[in-house]
This record gives sequence, structure tokens and C-alpha cells, in this order.
Amino acid sequence: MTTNQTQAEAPQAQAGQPIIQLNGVDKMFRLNKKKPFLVHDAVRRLLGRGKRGEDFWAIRDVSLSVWPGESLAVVGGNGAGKSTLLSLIAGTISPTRGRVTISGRVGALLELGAGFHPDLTGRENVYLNASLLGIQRDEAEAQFEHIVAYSELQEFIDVPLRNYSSGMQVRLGFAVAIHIHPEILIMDEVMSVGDQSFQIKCSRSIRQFQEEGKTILFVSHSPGQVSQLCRRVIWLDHGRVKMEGPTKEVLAAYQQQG
Amino acid sequence: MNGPRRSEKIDLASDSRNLFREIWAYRFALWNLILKDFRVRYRNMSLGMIWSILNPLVMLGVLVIVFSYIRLTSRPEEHFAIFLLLGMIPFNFFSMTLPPSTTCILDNTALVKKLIFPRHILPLSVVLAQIIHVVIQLSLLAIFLVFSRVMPNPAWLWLPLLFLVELGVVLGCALILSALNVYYRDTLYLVQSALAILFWFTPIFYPLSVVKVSLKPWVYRIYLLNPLAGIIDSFRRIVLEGKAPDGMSLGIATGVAGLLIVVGWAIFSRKERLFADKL
Repeated sequence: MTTNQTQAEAPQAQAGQPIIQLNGVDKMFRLNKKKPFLVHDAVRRLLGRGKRGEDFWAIRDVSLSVWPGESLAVVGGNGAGKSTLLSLIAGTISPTRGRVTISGRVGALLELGAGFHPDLTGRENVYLNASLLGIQRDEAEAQFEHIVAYSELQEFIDVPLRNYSSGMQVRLGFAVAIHIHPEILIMDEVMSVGDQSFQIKCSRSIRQFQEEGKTILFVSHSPGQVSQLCRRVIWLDHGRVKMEGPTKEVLAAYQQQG
Repeated sequence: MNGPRRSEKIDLASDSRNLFREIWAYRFALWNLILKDFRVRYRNMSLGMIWSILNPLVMLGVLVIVFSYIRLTSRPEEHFAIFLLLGMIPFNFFSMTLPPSTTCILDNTALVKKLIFPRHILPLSVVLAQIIHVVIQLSLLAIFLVFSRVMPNPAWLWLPLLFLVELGVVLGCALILSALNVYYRDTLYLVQSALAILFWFTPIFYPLSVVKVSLKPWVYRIYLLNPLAGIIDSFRRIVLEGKAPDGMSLGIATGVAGLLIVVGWAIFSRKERLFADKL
């Protein structure tokens, strides 16, 4: 498989413009051994020892197109660059080289309930989280009852989050995330949390998302989930696309090696 | 979050226009961040908000009492308590806002790493949340004004401009320092030391006129580069003397404030895309 994927290989190439497009994307992190300090650094620069840290290429030359309505899974071992790839597409980090083009509202679930604060009540956290995901007051107020109903946390909604179990927090986070109606849903292993009934509810919501023609991109360690939810998979290895194609083939090859 | 995200250099002017639009789109998030600041700070305190009133009250009270007896100036100031408050309030807004805004990106690591929103709203929320303390201190000032029978005068029309200059100074510094702190974690200590030094280089216990007569003109101009000097002096002229601000001191302060805002905005906007990498 090549790293450069052509339109012909994509299952839904006929749908016109890709909704997500990556062209030759590289992402480099500089690994600092020590935390930088202003005074320390200024002295070092004066002494001419400016260079510091090691370069680490988390993503190397990845090109990728995702079409509207498509569901794509990213698999790979620990440290393969999966989360970095999702962060690049979500836009929390910028590529070192290359270009990421997105045309649609992104709902990035890099972490469920990101920014939930333990001292705030469930209600307050719902509004904070929803607003940071980019929705306005009227929309948040209109969705609030639905969010609470979905999370099944009516009795606890005015209790500080500190008193929630981790499963309850995840439920609330997921409830907010699916009610902001993104066109692209990016999920970083968020489905592997929560109890059995929550996972079933999760899967049902995601299927409904797919039926509405939304685009889904996710990282998962569960082959069952991957083959259930999507037809195309990309396999990352050391920051490069090792293989890409129909779910069955890629998963087979991945599991054989793994 | 539409459109291309590039790794190429950015065009600051058109990017800023988009940025304003984006920040406006996130005004509900900004509001919720301000509320979070209050709730987290006061929920676990039995006295709640009273603490934030009590703290500046105690500090100002002690200073007023002490310096009503110990005069640092040869010429006794009329309405010394008001004179002092007009120096303390602008300085307090500055000194109470900078430490929390310096660390605001770091304090919200989880948000910055996992969510996409204009990062500008983080320092903005810290600065706006502090305005409540200014309002509390201003009401204290109002009480003193009423008791001393200091009446409003036409020069008060200058006050909105002064608030704007002060806000510009604080916001500009907040943008610069919060971005710097992502790269250098000792910024907070530098800020604290700088604030301790600045306290004595700001006309709080003494009038600006004393500075003017005791320094050479060019040294005096350097002194005025501290924008708080011009702001405080203007407040005193307006409220206590009913006069318009001094052109040079307020002019320099306004210039510095404008520069801080532009530089702060530019630095923050250039660096914000790298914040998640550095945290």
C-alpha cells in the first residue's frame, strides 16, 4: 500500500469534495528533557548553547481523504501516532509540514467531558463543556433537557461532579458531545469506557449518526467495534500509514502482525 | 472551525478579523469561563464573596489609617484616603490580574489539549472576572467620596477613556505573559518580582508632581513609561481637582497601552497554535 491514497481507492469517492483532506502532513514534537525556564534559557543562549531537545516525528508524510458520510477507523499500536493524527484533524495542534483542510463543523471527542471541573455541578459543567464545544446559549438551553435525559442523570444534575462515579462523568460527557450536532465526529477511544448498557447506547447513537450522513473518524482498540462501524480502516505504524483499505483486509493484516 | 489550517506563515491583519469573529462566536464560552472562575473560587468558602470584599478592604483600611498619620509628602494631601484609593485601585487591578492570567493557559491544560476554541478567551476571562473586584473597590471609593463631599465634576467625562487605557494595559500584559508562561514556566516568579518593584515605581503613596520635580526631565519620561503613573495621576486630577488629565503623562500611558495590546495580540495569536504542543 502506498501512503498516497488516490480517489479511486476510496469507497465513496463519487461524493465529490472530501470533507477532510491531509496532504503530506508531518508532525514533529520537540522533546525537552527539562522544563524550560526563562532565566536558564537566556543564560544558555548567551553562552551559545541554544539548541535543546530532541526531534520526534509523531506523524510522517500522511496523506488522507475522507468523504462526507464516511466512517473511518484508525488502528495501530501504542505510540503509532493515532491520537496525534486525530488532534491534527480536530485542529488542537497544527502540522509541522503539509496541509490539513476541513470543511465542516468538527465535534472532537478527544476526551469525553474535557474540562469538566469537579467543583462544578453537572448542570454547570454541561453548559461549560457545550459552550467550549462551540455552541451558543440558546442552543445550549434548548438541548439541555435532552442532554440530561440522555445521560439519565436527572437526580444528580445539581450535585458537584466530584461526587459522580467515573462512569457517570463519561455518560454526561458523551451526552453533551452528541447533542452539539457536529458534521464530523472525531473520537479517541471514547467508546471503550462506561458499562455494558452505556456502550450499547453509545453504539446506537453512533449508528444514528451514520444514518444521518455524518462523517465519523475514530481510534479504537476493539476489532469488533471497528468492523461493526466502518468499511475503511487505516493502520498507522511509527507515524506512517502502513496499510489502508477495506476493514476486513486491514484488520486481518493488523491482527496477524499484532 | 472551517477552512484550511496551514503550517505556513499567517497574515495577521486578516487573521485577526477572523479571530474577532471567532471570539464573538465563543462569547457564551467566555461567559461560562468567567462563571467557573467565581464558582470554583467561592463555592468552598463559608464566607464566599465576603472574602473578596474583605481582603481589599482590610488592606486599604490599614494603609489609609497608617498613612493618614505618616505623611510621605511634605505637603499634606487633602482627602488623603481618596488620594490613596485612587492610586491603589488602578494598581490593584493590574497586580491582582497578572498572576492568574500568567498561568491561565497552564491552568486549563485539559481544555487546550482537547478542545478547539480561540485560546484568547482564556486570558480574557481572567481579566474580565477580576473586574468585579474593581467594582467592589470603586464602591468603597464612592463611600469615601460621599462622606468627604467630593462631588462629580465635568472632568469625569474623561473617566471612560481612563478605564479603557487601564484595561488595555492589563489585557496586553495578560496576553503576553500567558503566552510566555507556556514556553517558560518561571514567568510567574518574574511577574511577582516585577510587581513588587513596580509598586514603588508607581505614584501610589506619593503624587506624580513630586516625581516630576525630583527627577531630571528625561528620567521623568522614562518613569512615565509605566502607564499606571499616567493613569493614576489622571484619576487624581479629575476626581480631586476637577482638572483634565496632563497631556504628556496620559499620552504616554495611552501609547504604551496601545503598544501592549497590539504586541500582546500579535504574540498570542502567533503562538496559540503551538500551545497544545508545549503543554
